[in-house]
Amino acid sequence: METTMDNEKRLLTTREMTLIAMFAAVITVCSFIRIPLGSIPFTMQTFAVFTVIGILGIKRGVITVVLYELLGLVGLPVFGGKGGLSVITGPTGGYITGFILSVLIAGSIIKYVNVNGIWFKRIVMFIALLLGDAACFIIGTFQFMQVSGNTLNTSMKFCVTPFIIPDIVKMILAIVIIERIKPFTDNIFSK
Amino acid sequence: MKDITIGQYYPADSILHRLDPRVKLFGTLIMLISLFVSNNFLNYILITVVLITLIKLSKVPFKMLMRGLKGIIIILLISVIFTMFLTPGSTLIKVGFIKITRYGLKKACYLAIRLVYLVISTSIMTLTTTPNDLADGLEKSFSLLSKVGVPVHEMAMMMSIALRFIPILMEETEKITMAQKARGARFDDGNIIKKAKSMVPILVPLFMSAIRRALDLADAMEARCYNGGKGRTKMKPLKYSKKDYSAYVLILVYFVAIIALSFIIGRTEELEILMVRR
Repeated sequence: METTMDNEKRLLTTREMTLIAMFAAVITVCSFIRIPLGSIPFTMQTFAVFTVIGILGIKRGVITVVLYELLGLVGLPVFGGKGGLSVITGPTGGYITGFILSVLIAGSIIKYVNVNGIWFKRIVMFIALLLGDAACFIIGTFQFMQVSGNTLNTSMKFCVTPFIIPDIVKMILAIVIIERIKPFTDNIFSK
Repeated sequence: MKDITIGQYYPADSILHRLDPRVKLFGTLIMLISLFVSNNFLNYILITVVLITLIKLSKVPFKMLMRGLKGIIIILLISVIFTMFLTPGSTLIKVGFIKITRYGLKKACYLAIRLVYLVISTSIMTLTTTPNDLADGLEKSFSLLSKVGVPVHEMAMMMSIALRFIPILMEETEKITMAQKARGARFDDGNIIKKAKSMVPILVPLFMSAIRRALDLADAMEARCYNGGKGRTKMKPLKYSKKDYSAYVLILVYFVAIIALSFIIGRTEELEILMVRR
């Protein structure tokens, strides 16, 4: 009997599929973890995206983020308790869509910039996440302006400036977590 | 976190509920496009009529549709106020340095309508379709992409997996948090740095737990002879019926009307705006 496994190269292995699905679920859970800081609520959503970049890499990371957005699209409340297509197409949806570009940019830098020494690696990862986050802000702010009709100044004031420092803290936290978990996942993917 | 309702589906027996999810996905896409190409009064009247009809057909309570607007209220206010005050044109009302122009007022109204209708129209889709049906609809809708290397089946499978693991990981996070609190961890004290540090004992176990579950699931799937999308059958396949084809026709008729109104009447309004500015 002929089996499809013999003659067909699969786009994703079963193990990759389950890991990607699980990490999409983790992003969802993190988007519910809320840290009260003054009047603006911050969640661990961007932290989870940063961690996915470091652990899963470019290809699997992009698929994870796309999957996360598809979950929201079908109505699951995965965007910090909200969901549905209206969030993605709404004024703040660009920041979620921008995660894809974040993964592409940060993942590429981490992958192709090779340095020796633990601290150099940390610095490269930090810069990579910083640039990825900036790209996310650009897309997010652009969509915010388009949909809500606000000017660039207004959009920056409400959607970018308050989130810069918390995002930097999340990057550092993500780097800490990545360093602890990555040896385990590298072992998995090399099997 | 414990009482989170997964999905926004509102169960009812209505025409919209029984429609194929692919039709609803396509219809919502057309509605979104029409909202962004619309630029005049008649367009918005047509959209309003269509939305009201859809709401009645869906049997979803109006209150549930309004719930989706809650998250958008602040942005709505900011947008409307700034647009009203900052748009140049002939003055309608002037108080001190504050000036409201006729064009600004009109633009603000259009903006508000567009934002509200955006939320309502997309909410109708998620309220009348289960997440699983939507996932099926997405897989079918994008099936052509699999010919160019996009992992369409794999995406659908991963959606199903993530769907049922979100509640499990939520529960896991809750347990980890309580276990760490029992050992003296404090999550609400200190500045942003301390709060970030206190997250580590929750996040590392959460990630490791997720990874272990993923590995166990992969082994279980392969033990049950899963080896990719090719050659698989479907337990509940999607099938079009007569009303689905009728719905497609109605959607296209609506879209043609929107485009026609945009180009015919929109042109007139543009001229009007130019004259005002001059």
